[in-house]
Amino acid sequence: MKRKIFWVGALMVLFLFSSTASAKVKLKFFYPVGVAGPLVKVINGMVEKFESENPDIDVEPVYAGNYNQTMQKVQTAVLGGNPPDVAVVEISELFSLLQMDALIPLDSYVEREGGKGFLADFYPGFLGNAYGRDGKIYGFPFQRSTPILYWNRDMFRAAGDKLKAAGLDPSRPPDNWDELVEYSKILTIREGNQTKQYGLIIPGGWNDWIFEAFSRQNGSQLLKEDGLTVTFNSPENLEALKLWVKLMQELQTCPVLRPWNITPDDFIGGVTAMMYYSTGGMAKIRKTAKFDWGAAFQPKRKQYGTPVGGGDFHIFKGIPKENQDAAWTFAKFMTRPDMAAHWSIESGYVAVNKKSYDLPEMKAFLEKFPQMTVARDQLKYAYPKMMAVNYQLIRNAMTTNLDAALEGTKPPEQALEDAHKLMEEAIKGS
Amino acid sequence: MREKLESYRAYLFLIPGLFFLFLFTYLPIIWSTWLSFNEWNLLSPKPVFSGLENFVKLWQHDVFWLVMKNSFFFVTVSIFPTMFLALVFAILIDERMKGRVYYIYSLFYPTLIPMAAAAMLWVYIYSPNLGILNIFLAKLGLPKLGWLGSSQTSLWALIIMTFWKNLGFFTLIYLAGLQNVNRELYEAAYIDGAGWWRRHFSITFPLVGPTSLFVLVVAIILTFRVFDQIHLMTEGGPGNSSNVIVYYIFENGFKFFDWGRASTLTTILVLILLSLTLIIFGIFGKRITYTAD
Amino acid sequence: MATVSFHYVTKRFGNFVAVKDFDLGIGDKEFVVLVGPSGCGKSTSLRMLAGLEKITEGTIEIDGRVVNNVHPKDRDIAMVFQNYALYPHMTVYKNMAFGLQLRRFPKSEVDKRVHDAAEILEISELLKRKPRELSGGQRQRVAVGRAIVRKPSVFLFDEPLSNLDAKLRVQMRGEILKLHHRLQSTIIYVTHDQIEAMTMGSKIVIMNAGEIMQVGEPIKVYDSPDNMFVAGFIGSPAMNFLEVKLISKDRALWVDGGEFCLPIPDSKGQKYAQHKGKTCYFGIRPEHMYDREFIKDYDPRNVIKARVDLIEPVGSFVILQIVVGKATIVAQVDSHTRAVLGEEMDLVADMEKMHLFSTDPPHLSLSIS
Repeated sequence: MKRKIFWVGALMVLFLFSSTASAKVKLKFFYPVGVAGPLVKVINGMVEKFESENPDIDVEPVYAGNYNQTMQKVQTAVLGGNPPDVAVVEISELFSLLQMDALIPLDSYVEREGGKGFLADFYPGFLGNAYGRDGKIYGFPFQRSTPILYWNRDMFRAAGDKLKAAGLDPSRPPDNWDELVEYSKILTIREGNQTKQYGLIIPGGWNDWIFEAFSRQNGSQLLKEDGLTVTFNSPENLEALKLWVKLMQELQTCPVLRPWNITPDDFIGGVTAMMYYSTGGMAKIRKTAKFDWGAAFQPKRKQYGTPVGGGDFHIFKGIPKENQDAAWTFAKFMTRPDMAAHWSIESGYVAVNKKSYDLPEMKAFLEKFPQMTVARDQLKYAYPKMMAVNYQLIRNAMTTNLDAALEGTKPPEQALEDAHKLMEEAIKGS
Repeated sequence: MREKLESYRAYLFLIPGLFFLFLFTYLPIIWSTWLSFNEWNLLSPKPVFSGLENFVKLWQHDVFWLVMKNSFFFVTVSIFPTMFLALVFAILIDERMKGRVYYIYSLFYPTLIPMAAAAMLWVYIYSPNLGILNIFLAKLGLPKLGWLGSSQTSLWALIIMTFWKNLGFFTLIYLAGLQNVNRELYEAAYIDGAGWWRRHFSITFPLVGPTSLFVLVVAIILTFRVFDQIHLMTEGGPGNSSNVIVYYIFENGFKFFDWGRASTLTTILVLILLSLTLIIFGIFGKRITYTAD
Repeated sequence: MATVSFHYVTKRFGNFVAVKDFDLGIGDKEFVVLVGPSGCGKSTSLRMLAGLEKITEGTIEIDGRVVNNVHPKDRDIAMVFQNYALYPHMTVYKNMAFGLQLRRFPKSEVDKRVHDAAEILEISELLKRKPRELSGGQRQRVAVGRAIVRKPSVFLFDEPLSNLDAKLRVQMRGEILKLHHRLQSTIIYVTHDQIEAMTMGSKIVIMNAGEIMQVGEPIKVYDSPDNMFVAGFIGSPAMNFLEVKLISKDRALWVDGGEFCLPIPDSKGQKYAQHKGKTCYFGIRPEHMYDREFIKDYDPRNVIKARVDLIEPVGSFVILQIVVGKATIVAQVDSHTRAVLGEEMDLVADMEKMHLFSTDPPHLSLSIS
């Protein structure tokens, strides 16, 4: 009998505690995984660490799919009047979110942390996509990347004689577009009607992003920083697209529209000698590739150049003030030097916080894997990624037309022209 | 008087069901039909009446016609092989052929696993260089195909995957339909000298007519509504080559946030399905032999 | 011309023996009825002959040709099924023509045969209808018609009348007999109804539990059943069985049932003499028990006194259930009987028609053992 009373009492105490527990701030956190690799586990681990350091905040991490799917989920939640507290979305989506009046500016938080001095810890290249047209800061960099060129050193070595015969150096990757073509030709191995090894893969899915890099390398861009002036049909862009079509259709040293998520597997599986891919996929390659591989700047034309990529934290309107404060605490935690370093090591993304690179564990890691520094160093040549309202519609216009040109169903000129028109139409009125 | 009371009571019992049907089916149809006459998108955040503008714009839009073409292609190409093979497998299972258990598992397993899992599985099957399908093709000395990555094959790849996923479901329905066919008919035909094909061609096929009608209508509706696998495997690409109507609705509604256009497309889909169903029942409804007598 | 013979045919489904050592010869133009309770193996035997079931052991011959591995279509047989097996989506004409078309008969020949058969069966005006528009009797005719257009040498009927009502069944019975007379072909007919068997068969085969119990002309089987099963199965109401002892008294044999004691006529006594002193079953059919008041000439020793338990007037006669000691027996007496429920009455047994069966299974008749 006594024992029973004890248990009833214990249960009541438990209920008491659980009701106080519900007084904690609860954060709903939407995040995407935009590259191949088991990053959900990493995020969950970081969230656990945050909760143990901040016992008054509960974070519920919601894996929302790839970038497109995450944006769809966020937009739907906002329109449904039930926004997440904090979310990571692809950086080009900022203007669409602002158009929906979904975000709060972060200036007051930044001010409290020390304003410019605080922001100075972050790579400026990654802050370029954080500002709205009103000059306020709405995004906070987190999983940030650039495309880089991955290359299989073993394959280069194997083709050493042929490369040397063509006047190319097998110990380094191509440095400009012409070399890219030459290397890819020699590194492509055919057997009958089968291609045993491709020289190069420029994957589909996010080819608009990589195309933006080629555009920058040729001194152009897809859309001006104002988010209004479309320059998609520039002669420089046409030259870039023609280069791609040449690689894929004429020379066939690059497969057409290889699915984004599978391309790292192709590289790891020895299907291709080179690959353009996000730096965010590097951890997977580091852990599974059984050969000597390198990472390099994307080859230049007129200059080295690349857009940044990835996703930023955003904090939403229409939630209680204490949730917004907690969300800021969370975003700040996730990007502080040790966490940014951890995230970088586990994923391959660039650590957004400069101070991460001063940490001994990061130094030791980079010692072992110097490839990891490439994306960071490439930031010198990095530009903000294009941003516009209706970005999804614009991106759709770009990818469908790029796809058509690359498959050879549309001449490059017309593809650029068609996309250009659709982009202008989508931007009109914003 | 008594009968009248009875029928009132019947309606009374129907009210809860009708209420939910109205709330979750008819009301949204009416609402989206109304919205299809409105401009409502990210740049025009409140619905504004715009008459037929949405329809006219779609009419002039290449992608719309490509999507319609893809949808009809998907339906016509996938339905008849699905129905035919579902019936054949149902017959084979019903006749207790050898290795039946193996067939039952391989047919119904795809039906049971979630579409999302199936889609991921097929992404790897279709993987251009490391996928089992292309490895198999290469072994046969055939050229490898781009599958999901090529606008020539992406729609076919989805059709094949959907066929694989749905076959078991329709086999199950046919299996139930076959139980209504009197076994003696087969014995009579067997004694008369009808071979396997002839027996089923002359007896089974006509007699599962009611089932076939049901399967046809359900298959058309299901196939017009394919979405999950497209969302997960191709996102309609490359270059809209595998974009079909429901995915296009989703794209417009949830990606481009053009609710007006999404509603217009929904209205069009409802009209297509409605008229197809009416046509099918008009043609076949009266010609079918119902075995129960 | 068609004879059929079964040579020790056995059919097993797994461990279950459905038919055991079925051995039977059927002459040309015979009308043979396989009869027995459900599950006795009669349908299975027929289906083996039709080729719908594989034969486990033994052989079946049609016209001297072993058909064990011959496809049904090449056995020159036609079968009428219990549920008619009409194709619901085909007209009567098509139903009848289907088998001929499969055999690639010329169109004119098909047409002629269908119309001839339809005329014989008086269904000419139904040819354009579908089965669901027909009555039960009409469907039955179509089913028969479908068999006769083929002009097979052997017809197989599998309980063809069991789905018809009693009146129609009697009518169809007659028609099938007439048809047999007209077609002059061999018919093998399966039924569980002993009246059908008695009225139709030129030879009946009584089966039980997969084995043949007796083969013979109906009247012979009725008069001298080989065993208690046949005795009880053939005849309606069924034969009465009473446990008795054979005793010798006054230089004659008697059946002693305790409550009654009846003398065995001399004509039969000799046969049974060797069983004197044994316990056995005494069998007598209800129609061989009379109300004493309605017969003039009888042996007073054959009278049984019994109490009336139930009176069922059928019209042409009255069926009585009467209690003798612990046993209840049935008697079929004159329709004008004055029997009163609960009271005693005198019945006279026609001892010339009595039977005796062994108490040991399979309860063979003592007149043959």
